[in-house]
Amino acid sequence: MDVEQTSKLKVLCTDTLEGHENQVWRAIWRPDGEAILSCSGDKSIRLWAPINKSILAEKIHLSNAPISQTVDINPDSENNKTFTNYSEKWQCISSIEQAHKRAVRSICFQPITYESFASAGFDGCTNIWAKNYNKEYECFTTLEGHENEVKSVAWSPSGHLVATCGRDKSIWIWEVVGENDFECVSVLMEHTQDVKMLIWHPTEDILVSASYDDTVRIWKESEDDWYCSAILAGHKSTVWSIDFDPTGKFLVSCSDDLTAKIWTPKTTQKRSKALEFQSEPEWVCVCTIPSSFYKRSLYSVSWSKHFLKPLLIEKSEEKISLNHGYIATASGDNKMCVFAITSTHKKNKSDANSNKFNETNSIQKQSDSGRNEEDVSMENQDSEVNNVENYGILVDIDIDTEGSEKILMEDYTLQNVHFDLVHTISNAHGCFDVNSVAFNPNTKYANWLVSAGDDNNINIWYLQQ
Amino acid sequence: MSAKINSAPIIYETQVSCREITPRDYDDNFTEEIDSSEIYDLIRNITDPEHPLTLEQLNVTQLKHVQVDSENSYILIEFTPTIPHCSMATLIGLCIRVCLLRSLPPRYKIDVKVRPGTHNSEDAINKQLNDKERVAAALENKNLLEVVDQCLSTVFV
Repeated sequence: MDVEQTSKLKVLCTDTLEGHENQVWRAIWRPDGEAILSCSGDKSIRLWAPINKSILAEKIHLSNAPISQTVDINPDSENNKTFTNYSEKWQCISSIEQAHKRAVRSICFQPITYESFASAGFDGCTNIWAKNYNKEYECFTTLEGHENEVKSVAWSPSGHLVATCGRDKSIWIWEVVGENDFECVSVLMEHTQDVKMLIWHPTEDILVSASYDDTVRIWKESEDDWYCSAILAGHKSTVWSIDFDPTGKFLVSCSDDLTAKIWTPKTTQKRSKALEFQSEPEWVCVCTIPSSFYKRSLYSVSWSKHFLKPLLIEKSEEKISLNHGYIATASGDNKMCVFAITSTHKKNKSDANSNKFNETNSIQKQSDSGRNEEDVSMENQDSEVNNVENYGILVDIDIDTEGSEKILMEDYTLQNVHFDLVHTISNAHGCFDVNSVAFNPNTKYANWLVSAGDDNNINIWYLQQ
Repeated sequence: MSAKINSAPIIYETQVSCREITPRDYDDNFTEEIDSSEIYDLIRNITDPEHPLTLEQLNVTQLKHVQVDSENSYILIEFTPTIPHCSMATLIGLCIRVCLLRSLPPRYKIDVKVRPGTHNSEDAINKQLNDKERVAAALENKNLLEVVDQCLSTVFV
């Protein structure tokens, strides 16, 4: 695929934040999208903010930029410097040196007030940080229990729970019982290898874990007991990273097997019915971004927050198409890729007919639509996931019809989830691995991205549509 | 020390050096692409963690199992454990990786693997050796790093 020709948007590197003295493992946005927190192999945590936050609201046009082309930073070239047009608009406002005794692998904000944050270290500790009377960040609590490296920490959207995971194969769930008081409520030991990353569902207390054992697991609570409600098997190597779409109905995972996969629960009934007791839905892979895009391990994936409700882009008698925003990946081949994600949903003929149809067709059956043939020719081995109509999945979510007639998603069956490579940034951090990528969580600033690399730097990117 | 995993390894003949030194090697203005013999010259002198012998003497590393793709800055090293259940295999692989990390420009992407069919836990060892997070964590482990440094003490002389 010729990237330059298919490029439908431009990605501009507006800033490079220097300061860390070792590889930067992760850089995340504060939930309001107006600050960045980073952690590094140099054992420090840094908080960065724009000198004037209005720069985030600016619409950046390439005409403002010194180089009007797709971004391809060559580490050996002086061109790198010409991106400083927007530079020095960000500064490090807080730096916690020796935040852990070893590398700091992961960080996350308290999701309600953002006043505190948690960090996970290779020293086996999870530290909770907040400002003291001198307005300096201080570690108020250390969560201990993991036998060795803690690899990820995630704070639930409600603010009540914190989850940690690590090389000891376990996931610990902690309840926030007081301002700086945490109590372990569950230790989940079902992964057979290191647990690499945790995320929470955007609105519910559902936890998702990614592991070196090649699986993703979904964890839920029932009467104070946490249990594994689904195992997502399909990746052929370590799953490094996961992210939900803004609705929480789709999950994306990326792996050392050089693919990214989109998953959804195989629900076949509408919401009102789903609330009643039913068996746990199986999660199925509905789309695979194939290995042909990558040469080395995919370390990070992020789903953009452009549309909190998927946007209706096409409607006909038989089907509708929805825009789900973008997915960005970061990989060990120094690259960042941005894909546009859309889905097609087929109108059900009638309840009786569609049920019968589901039963009589095998999952592997190919659709003969033109779009699918295109996909098949591109990567044969992954073609079976392109058409998922026969799963009979009902994606019962609110969608944005931009004021036109409301559409009841319960009348539609998911036909396919489609990805379209819209931009590749080779050498996003020079000749170094890109360890993390994150879209800004604030819909207002949805075009901003932050990445972290083995070059000790953090890069800030703007998507020009 | 407890009984060695492989108490009587076969010792192989070694070469003095694999590559000829040319005047260009002393010319700082001339940057030459790194080739496989240069890589091999680094790793052949790593000392085995168990025996006072080099990886070359034990035939763990061989020149023909070093692949260099300069154009794509990619290096693949395959090593052969002395016995198929060698518990030192992961440590040997780590030593090779650290040796190269310390010697090569950062643009090189390095894979270190067990020669196919030469170890019972080949896949598990390969996965671990090429997991950057595990390698990073291992390099912060003081005890482990001491052992690695010992093995590498014979490399840069």
